Amino acid sequence: MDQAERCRRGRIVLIDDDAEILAAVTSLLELEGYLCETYASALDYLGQLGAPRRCPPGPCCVLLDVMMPDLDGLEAQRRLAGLDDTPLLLMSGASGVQEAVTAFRAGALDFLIKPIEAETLLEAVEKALAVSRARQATRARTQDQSRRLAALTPREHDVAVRVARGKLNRVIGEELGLALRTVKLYRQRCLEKLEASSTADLIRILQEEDP
Amino acid sequence: MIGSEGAAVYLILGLICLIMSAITWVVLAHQRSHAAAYWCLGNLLFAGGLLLAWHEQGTPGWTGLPLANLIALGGLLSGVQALRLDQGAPWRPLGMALASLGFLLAYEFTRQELGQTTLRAGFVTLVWLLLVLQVAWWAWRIARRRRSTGAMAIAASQLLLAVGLLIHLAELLRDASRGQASTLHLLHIGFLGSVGVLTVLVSDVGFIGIILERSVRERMEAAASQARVEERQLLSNQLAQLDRQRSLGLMAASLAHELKQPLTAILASAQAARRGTAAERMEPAQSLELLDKVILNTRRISGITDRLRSFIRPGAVHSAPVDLVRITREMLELLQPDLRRHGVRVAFPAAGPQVLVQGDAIQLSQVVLNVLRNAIDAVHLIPDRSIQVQILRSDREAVLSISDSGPGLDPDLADRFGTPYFTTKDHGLGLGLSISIAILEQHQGNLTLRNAEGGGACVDIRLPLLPGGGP
Repeated sequence: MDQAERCRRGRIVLIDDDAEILAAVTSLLELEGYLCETYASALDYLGQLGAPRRCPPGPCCVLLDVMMPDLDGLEAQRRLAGLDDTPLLLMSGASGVQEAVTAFRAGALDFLIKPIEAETLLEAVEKALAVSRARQATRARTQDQSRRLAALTPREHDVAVRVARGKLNRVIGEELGLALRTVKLYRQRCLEKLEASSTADLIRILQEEDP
Repeated sequence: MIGSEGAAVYLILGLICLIMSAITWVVLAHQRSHAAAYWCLGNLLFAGGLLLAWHEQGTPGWTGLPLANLIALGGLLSGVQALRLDQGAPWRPLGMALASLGFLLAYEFTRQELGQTTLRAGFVTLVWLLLVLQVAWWAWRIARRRRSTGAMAIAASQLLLAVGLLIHLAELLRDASRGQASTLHLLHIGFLGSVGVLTVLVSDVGFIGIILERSVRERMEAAASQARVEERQLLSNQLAQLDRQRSLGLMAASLAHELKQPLTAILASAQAARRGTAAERMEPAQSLELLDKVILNTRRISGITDRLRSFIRPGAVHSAPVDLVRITREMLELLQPDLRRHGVRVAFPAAGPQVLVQGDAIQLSQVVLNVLRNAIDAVHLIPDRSIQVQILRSDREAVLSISDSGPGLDPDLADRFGTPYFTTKDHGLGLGLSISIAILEQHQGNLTLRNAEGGGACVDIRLPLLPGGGP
């Protein structure tokens, strides 16, 4: 299986201070066709985050050990949460309820108890990658819409905002001091620039942009 | 001296003294202390003095009464010395010699210068009276302190003798005041002789009593203190055992993690191999590699459980040569999970040669573990977390120093560190350090706390080096 295909299937970042665990879990995940990146500490991972990626874009998740010397898993989770929205899975050998609760509150997708059964691990990873895919899709769409909104002229934007508030063309014309015909023209241009199929679509796009 | 009329009394009393001296010496065969030796010597000298007086009576010059009196005086001094020794307050030999010399000079002075028999006899009687009172006084002290009936018998009989001598002295003084030579009645001689015989008999038996009572009491006390030592030893061993179990309890979370790590690797490797092989997606070389991982990590677990088992082994203390370097390294390994968890750096310069001390490896390991635990607790909440371990050796002793980068010791609390149940930790019992100190005391070692130059606390563990213990 080549690198690109693995990337498409899912990139999994493994962070554990135990080299044996990194090796073993990597074997298991690579067998299922995922791409594994391993780090001996969370600091190593954080340190290279800005570097350019060889892998083509694809779903990604982080599998993080809680009990680590330099930077423990929960602290690493807090730092990562401030950087991006990659789904996080935590794992631990001897954690109490408190640690798990803290992890979930901070947005961990799952908390795996060592030793981890292969099925449990693969299920959790698959779920995390699905979340990653969904987040990436949402982000792509949002970015697309932002780009389209940016293409509107200020006048067109004024009209679009008022349309989204459900105002009639006549009222919009009165408010902006425009002729009814001009309002209709702007409205048509907005639909075209935002690639909205209907007025309802336009309303949705504007609401997503500025809820 | 009584005079020539008392010749028979000298003989009888001298013989009895001689016999009693021998009897006392034989009876106390197993308890021959300095006191017993002085007592028997005293009897012997006194007997010698009396017999000489009997044999040489009437002989003028040195070999006669002066020598007899001197020897008898030595006997009395020796008797007093025996009792004083028993009470731990002996006279100095020089003092005794000077006193004897003084006595002799005074005696000669009364004999040659004054030439007065009665005054001379009065002087001798007075000296004897004082010495007999000394014996009675010391015997009474012993009787009062130890409730000893033997000593009480001595005191009573010596007092009786003192009364006899006092009467005799009074007679002599009366004769002297009348300007007569002393002419004693047979009645007086008989009375004084009987009192003398009685005193000698009762005093010797009493002295045997003192020594035997003392010996029995000493043996009982020795047995009792031995029992106390053994009991304390047993208790402290049990306490040490509990402390080890508690240490392990405190390490439980870290140890669980330590065991879960290789288990995780084993499970993942085995399941990867199984899945890969089942679906024929894996080369044999790769599954062999995974199996090797299973083996390697199983050995890791085995190593951890071995360390644990050797640490909690209960049972008797076993003294043998112990390598301080080795047990320190083992305890650092045992604490490895905790050290990693708290991100504590440990500097333990490769102390190449072994440093051997005599003792129980587990108990000494426990001391090292306790001190290391304290060091971890001292640093785990601060940014700079490091521990320095060092083993130094001098001619006689080995010093294991463990210092940390923590806040150091509060000088106000310095006296209280190491006392049972004193702790500065939220969940501490306050027993670790006191148990460690007790263990080290049993090993003729000690433990001192100080603040290191850098600011953190430093614990020095000192133990006597085994002769030839290391290169």
